[in-house]
Amino acid sequence: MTAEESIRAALAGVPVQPLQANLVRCVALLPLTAGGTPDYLFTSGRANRYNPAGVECIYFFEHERTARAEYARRFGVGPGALQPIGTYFAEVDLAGILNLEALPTRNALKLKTSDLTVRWELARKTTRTQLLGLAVSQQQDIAAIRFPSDAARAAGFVGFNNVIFPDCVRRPDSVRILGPTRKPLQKWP
Amino acid sequence: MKNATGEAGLASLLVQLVEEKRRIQRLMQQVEEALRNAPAIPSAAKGSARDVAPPRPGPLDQVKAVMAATADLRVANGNLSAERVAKLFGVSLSRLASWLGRSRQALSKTPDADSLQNELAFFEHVARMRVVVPDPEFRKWLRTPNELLGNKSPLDLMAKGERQIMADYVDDALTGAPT
Repeated sequence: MTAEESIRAALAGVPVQPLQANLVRCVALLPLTAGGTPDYLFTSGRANRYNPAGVECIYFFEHERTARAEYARRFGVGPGALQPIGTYFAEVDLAGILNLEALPTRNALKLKTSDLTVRWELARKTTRTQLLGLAVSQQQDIAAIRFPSDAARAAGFVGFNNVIFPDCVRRPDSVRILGPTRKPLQKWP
Repeated sequence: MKNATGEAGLASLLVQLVEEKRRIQRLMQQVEEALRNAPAIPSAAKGSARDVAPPRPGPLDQVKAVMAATADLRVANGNLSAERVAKLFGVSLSRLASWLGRSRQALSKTPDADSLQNELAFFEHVARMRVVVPDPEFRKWLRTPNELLGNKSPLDLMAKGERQIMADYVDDALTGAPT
């Protein structure tokens, strides 16, 4: 059985939990707004910690401090970190997510602590967490993965991120970008 | 009965769709791994680096304000200029030539040659960082070891041919992707 198959098999019995929270993103303002109307739920399909290339998803952060830590980690402490930033919030209501903070969940998926902090950017093959994201994107019972923020860890505090897979967000689940009225600026599904 | 048939048909199509999606994702994954494992072009391979693919399309390729940040790297015909890239990156033309597997003379003679465009496009992609940092800070950032890059500097990776990694890094930074 390949690693991908074993993770897919493990998903069948893994504990899931609901998520109802306001999550946040911090993005450099110019790229966010330069195209006209911002695409707050933009997915690039590019590889990241919990998705191999080609898997559409979006990463949100649980608190602004974590979002800022993630942003600052790439830009450093120079002027880049001091440029205008766009911060926006999503009201997220999902019936089933994987919470990797929970040891039983990690154990069920055979994920080691080191798997959660591996430097995926330089990895020569698809990481276990990317395979997990791939497996999640291919089923319907789990819409997101909650995982510890490596940027928060590097900055000396505990923070969490959530990666949400749009194809797995089905009514009554929802992701709503909060705006000035009750009508969301953008939403899934 | 007709409805039941229709529903069964839809269910069957849905199953096919999911299978097809998995197949495409597996394929994408294989392509990604192949690209990552493809050997970098060694600087010693001068004169042989002619068929380099351009950077993968990025999420900001069509955003005018982002592309405007690197417009000064292009000459009147729209081509990227090796001279301008070298100047922005703070490296000599000889050094850039060696990274690209070309001679300094060739670069001096036709710095905006069509044959250079794919490789220079990686440098243009990285230079999009100037959307959020001024030039002196950009050059400083290029030379600063980065823990996310295995404690190598962005310029180290550009020199070693790991240019797609750097193009991806800049896209991720500008689109708010986590680390």
